[in-house]
Amino acid sequence: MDPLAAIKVTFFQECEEQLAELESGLLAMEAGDTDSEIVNAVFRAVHSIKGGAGAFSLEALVRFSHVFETALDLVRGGAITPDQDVLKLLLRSADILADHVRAARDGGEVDEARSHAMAEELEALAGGGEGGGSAAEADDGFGDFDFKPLMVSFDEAPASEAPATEAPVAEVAPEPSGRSFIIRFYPQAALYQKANEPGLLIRELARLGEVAVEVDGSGLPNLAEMNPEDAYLGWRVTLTAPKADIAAVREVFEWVEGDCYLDIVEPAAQSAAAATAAPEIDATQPEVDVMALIRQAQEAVIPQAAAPAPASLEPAKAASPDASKAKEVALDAKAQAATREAGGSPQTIRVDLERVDRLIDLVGELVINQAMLAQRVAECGLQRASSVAMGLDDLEHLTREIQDSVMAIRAQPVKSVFQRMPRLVREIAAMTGKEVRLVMDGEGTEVDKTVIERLSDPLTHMIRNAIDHGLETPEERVAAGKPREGLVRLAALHRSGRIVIEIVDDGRGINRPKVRQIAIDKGLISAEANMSDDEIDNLIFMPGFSTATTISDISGRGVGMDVVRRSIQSLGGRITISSRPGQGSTFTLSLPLTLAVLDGMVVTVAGQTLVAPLTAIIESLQPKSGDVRQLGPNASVIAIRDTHVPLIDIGRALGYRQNSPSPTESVALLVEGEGGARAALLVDAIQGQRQVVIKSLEANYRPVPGIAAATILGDGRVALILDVDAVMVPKPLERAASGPSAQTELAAPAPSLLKAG
Amino acid sequence: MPAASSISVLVVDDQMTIRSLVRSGLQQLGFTQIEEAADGEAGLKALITRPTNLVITDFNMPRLDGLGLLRAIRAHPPISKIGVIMLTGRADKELVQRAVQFGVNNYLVKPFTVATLKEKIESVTGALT
Repeated sequence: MDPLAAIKVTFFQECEEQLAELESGLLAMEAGDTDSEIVNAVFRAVHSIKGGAGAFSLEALVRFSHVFETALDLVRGGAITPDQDVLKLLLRSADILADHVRAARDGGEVDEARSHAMAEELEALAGGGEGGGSAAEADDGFGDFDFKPLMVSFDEAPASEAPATEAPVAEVAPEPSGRSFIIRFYPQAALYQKANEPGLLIRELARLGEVAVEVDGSGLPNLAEMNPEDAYLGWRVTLTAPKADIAAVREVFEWVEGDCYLDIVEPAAQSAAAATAAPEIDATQPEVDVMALIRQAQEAVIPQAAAPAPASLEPAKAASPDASKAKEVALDAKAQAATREAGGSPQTIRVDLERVDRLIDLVGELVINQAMLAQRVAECGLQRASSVAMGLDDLEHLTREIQDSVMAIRAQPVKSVFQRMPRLVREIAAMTGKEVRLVMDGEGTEVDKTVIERLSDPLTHMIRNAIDHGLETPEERVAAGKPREGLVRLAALHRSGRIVIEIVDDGRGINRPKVRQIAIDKGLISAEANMSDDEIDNLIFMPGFSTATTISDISGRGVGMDVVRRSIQSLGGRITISSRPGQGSTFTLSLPLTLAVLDGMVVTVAGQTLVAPLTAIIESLQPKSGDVRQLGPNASVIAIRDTHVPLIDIGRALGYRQNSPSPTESVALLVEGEGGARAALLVDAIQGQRQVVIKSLEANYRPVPGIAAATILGDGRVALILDVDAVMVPKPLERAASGPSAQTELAAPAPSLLKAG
Repeated sequence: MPAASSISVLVVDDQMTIRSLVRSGLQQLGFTQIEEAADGEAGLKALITRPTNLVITDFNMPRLDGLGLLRAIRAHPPISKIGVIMLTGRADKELVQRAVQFGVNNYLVKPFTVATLKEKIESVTGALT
């Protein structure tokens, strides 16, 4: 990739971040937050997109972001009051801007008419504000600008390198016996908020050696301007500690490091370093107080830069219905900003996904190898307490940790999916004429990237459903004594090794008589069926239940919840619903955190070891002779409580054997396929539950009917993972063995099959 | 006439895209000592700990903006002589005028070409060899 193309990739990644920042900032403003830093961040996001777009000559994007930026600049300057109407316009503009970014990235087209109309609205808004013209000029505006560049003299200060380097080093060689450190410690407000006490920290330092402490009160403002909650003082501590090293000094501040400016230098070491440094940075210069410098600089700049702001923000504040609440939000945002600040900008690197996946593969191999090794050692008859076995235990522990850490690399916060939802909600609310408030929780919850990517469609569908079907119109809501505005809540959380996502609405709930009637009309249930509320609610997941005959562009009603359920199940997930008439519905998704490992039930069939995905298994049971009924030579059913389900011998379905053993000497696994159909799978014995690393058969060999994937067990044997849905459809698997069957698969030497990948 | 490789440059911008573009331009001009910082505050810290000859900084950044950084540089004797080039959008004349008051050495309008970058740097450092 040429460097410019690589930078362009970075640009589009940054655009996504900026779009997210833009939207969350606008939403915060909509919620009444008037903090100028938020307005600035919103402006900066659009400004940055425009700047980068200019560098890559993305004209359409530059044009739209320019108009948008102009309007935001007026909001920032106070010429436009960001009331609810303005914010709605800005939010819709943010949506269009996102379209422009994606069109520029993927080479697609934007809806020109819509974009144009939006630009005109923004221009009208900007025109309405005072002094709208100044920033709107599109050309350079530097034509008649008289500017004299200032030269820097490289001679005035001696050149940076050679002369200064050698000589001083020897002079200041640190004396081993008298190490001393200069510690500059400037707590931030957060440090005090967390109940830390500088005095105690300094006392802690004193334990390391002799200390000389000076207070720096230069940052103290006038009494009138002092905020009792803020931090103004700093300390300069000279520590003479013959035995301590810099790490020991740093350790004292271990718990507060994020909440203070901390600078620890060892003058001996420092002067050696300074010798190599340019002379401007002289260790003998008065101490540098970065904070004071910054404060000074900001004081000097801000009054000019933001002079109109305080006055102009006033009307917005007054307009906000609950000023104290707005203030709370603002404070909260400030606290968050402070946390961010304290932590510094997050350190990240962008890594090619393929490399991560390669690493995950390798770690999978490592886990298997380690398990094989452990088994071999056990076979050699070594005691569990022997040092080799104990060493292996440690190795196992470490390998698991490595596996978890590597999986965590692929994990991403669900935020990337969640953040698309506010726009969706706005659009659907506008289309249906409903008033909707979307509340999101747990956006930081992490799950595998693949899961996230495949969550987008089902979630979109369910949010649409919640608004379109779940929520009532504002009039209906008022009549029912509810607030006009409907609530949709989207929340994610971790629960027992899985991620749980809830979509909750406070609408009318499932209309059970209607659902039941539809199911009867469509022949899904019999008219006499005696069903619990829960069972009726779950009818909406049945294939063919879908109520409408046309696909509306809102709910995609022709698709239906069965598709949602299928896509969730294909991720190894489950979906459940609970609903209360008149009070709303809750859809709960439960998904695995990763698709690279699988919780499986290891079973024996005709001497072979197979793995059945645990998510498909409802229960396992020992058939009694009276429960099984033969239906012709090749089919039988088993009675499980009051229903009959097909009984399928896995051994025969996969072609391992011609004659099934007696069901009463086998174990039946009651499974549910993706379509909701149930069957009992007959296996010889259950070995146990295990987490297995999934290896693709298709990638390493070729697809095999009835088999979803393979895995390697601790003893090095390959075990095939059952494709439950495929074995539930009996016929295709029993045809003459023209293609590769599971039988030939197992005859192949196991290791060679997987080494290829 | 300084050699480009003998000049250490700090690029300050909150956008990685712009930092990368400036870095790429600098590399084409033969610069090898290039550091980056994501905002004025980080930039100032970098300047205090590391010898630097030239700063190319954006204006609009979180925490400490470009003017603040410029002001802080000029106010602090050990680093006050460093050359500062301010990155600016189109038509930000007012901004540049304010930067002039604070002693900016030159300005660079985004988007820029490598030739412009060279011209602006040379106006500050003298012709590069």
